[in-house]
Amino acid sequence: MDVLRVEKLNKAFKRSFYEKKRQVLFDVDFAIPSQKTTGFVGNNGSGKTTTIKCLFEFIKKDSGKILFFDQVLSAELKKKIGYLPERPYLYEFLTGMEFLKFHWQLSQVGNSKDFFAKAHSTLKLVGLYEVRDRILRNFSKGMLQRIGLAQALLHDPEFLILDEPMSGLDPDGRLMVKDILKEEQKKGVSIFFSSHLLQDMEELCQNLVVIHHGRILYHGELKPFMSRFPTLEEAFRSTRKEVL
Amino acid sequence: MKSIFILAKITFQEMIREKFFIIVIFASLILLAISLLLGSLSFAEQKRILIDLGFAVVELSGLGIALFSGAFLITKEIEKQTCLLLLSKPLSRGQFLVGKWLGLVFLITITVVLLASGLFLLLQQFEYFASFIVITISIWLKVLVLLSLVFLVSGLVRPIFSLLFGLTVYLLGHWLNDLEFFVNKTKDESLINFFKFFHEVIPQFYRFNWKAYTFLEKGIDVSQVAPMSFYLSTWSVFLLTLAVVVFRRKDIV
Repeated sequence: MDVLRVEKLNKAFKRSFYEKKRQVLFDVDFAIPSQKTTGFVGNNGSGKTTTIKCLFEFIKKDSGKILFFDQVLSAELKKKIGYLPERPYLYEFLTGMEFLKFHWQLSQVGNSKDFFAKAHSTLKLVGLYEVRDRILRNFSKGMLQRIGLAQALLHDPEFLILDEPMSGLDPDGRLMVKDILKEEQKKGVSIFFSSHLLQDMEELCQNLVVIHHGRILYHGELKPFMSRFPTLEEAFRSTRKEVL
Repeated sequence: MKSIFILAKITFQEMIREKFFIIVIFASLILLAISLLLGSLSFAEQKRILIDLGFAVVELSGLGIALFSGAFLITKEIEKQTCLLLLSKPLSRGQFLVGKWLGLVFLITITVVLLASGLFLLLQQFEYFASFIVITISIWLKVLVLLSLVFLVSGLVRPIFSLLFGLTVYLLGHWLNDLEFFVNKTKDESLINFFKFFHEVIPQFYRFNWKAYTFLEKGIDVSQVAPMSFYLSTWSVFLLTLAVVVFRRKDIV
């Protein structure tokens, strides 16, 4: 079963009141298979974040179909999904623990007794246990990214959607996130993450969705996509040229 | 419902730490002290000056929080994209907006109660207690109408315009009866008809503008309390419902 199916997704935006609408997504069509890691790759401004925002209905689609676990997104389905936005600006006055408690309560997945054990293990996983009582204002950019990831993992989601999870992280942070994603994958969690770094894709993904100027150039397994090329970078470059 | 209260609590905690709130409270306490000082300069009108200025301070503080915080709160959530994490949870846009609104309502309530209590302690006339409570409630409900209004308008235009619109409606709502007097003087049928329509679509704050010593002294007609509560609460709920409708349709880019 696919954990996510996107069919003929279209979106046009008006940048200002006086401008005409500009199409940013063109019949976007792809599926994310269960228990696999799928990379969502494309240049800056290619439509990755807009697509992800459409998935959660932050942006209203003009047309098309989006199905999670073969159903339209609902409050019940959201409990199965963990999400990390591109730049997770958070409530800065909360401590790490308060922030996680707030998200735990909103996730409606367990009682407060379960919370502490779960929060402690998740904070250890992202390497923030020692600073759990520090307010987020005093967190570095990388630490904010990691606490953002912690809230996405906290409720043991079946499906993780991460928008540029490794942006702004130092090498240690990147390695940590990669290890966490590998661990989650072993547990059977389906992962869909966007990045413009092809190295990450090659290392972590079994599947790939390539987007360019709002159009899907490829979606499917990573191996066939790369079969004719020595690296993913070459494959990506060649696919873009074919389209252009 | 639980999610709304969790969000309201966080919003309250967030807003109470804002410098703006601390400034409003300090400025209000200073103005209350000035009211007392000005009152003490006058032998005959001591209480009148204290009460008139004091209630004005209570209303302006609530109004300041409602207009400034209300106009910028949701826009800030969208600009900083903090709302994305929340809306990815089992929380509807309606619950998100109502939670944020409720958080500010808590803040406004605490501000109004704190300042009104201070004013009553300065007044120290317990025979006016019932009227004092009714006047405080009327101020509180008026401020909530304006809070709902700026929530609605900030979903449509930039927060600064929302703030200015809220302020304009506040002033118009108090001046409607004076405007009516002048419009009737013109004897222009079309203008009079237009004003009748205008009169109905602007909250008629002047009907419940009791923040004066006269009302405290004479006492407020009890039969007015229920219509006042119903009228202002209806406006608040109506505007908040519209704000939810607008926010549901909004693209969070």
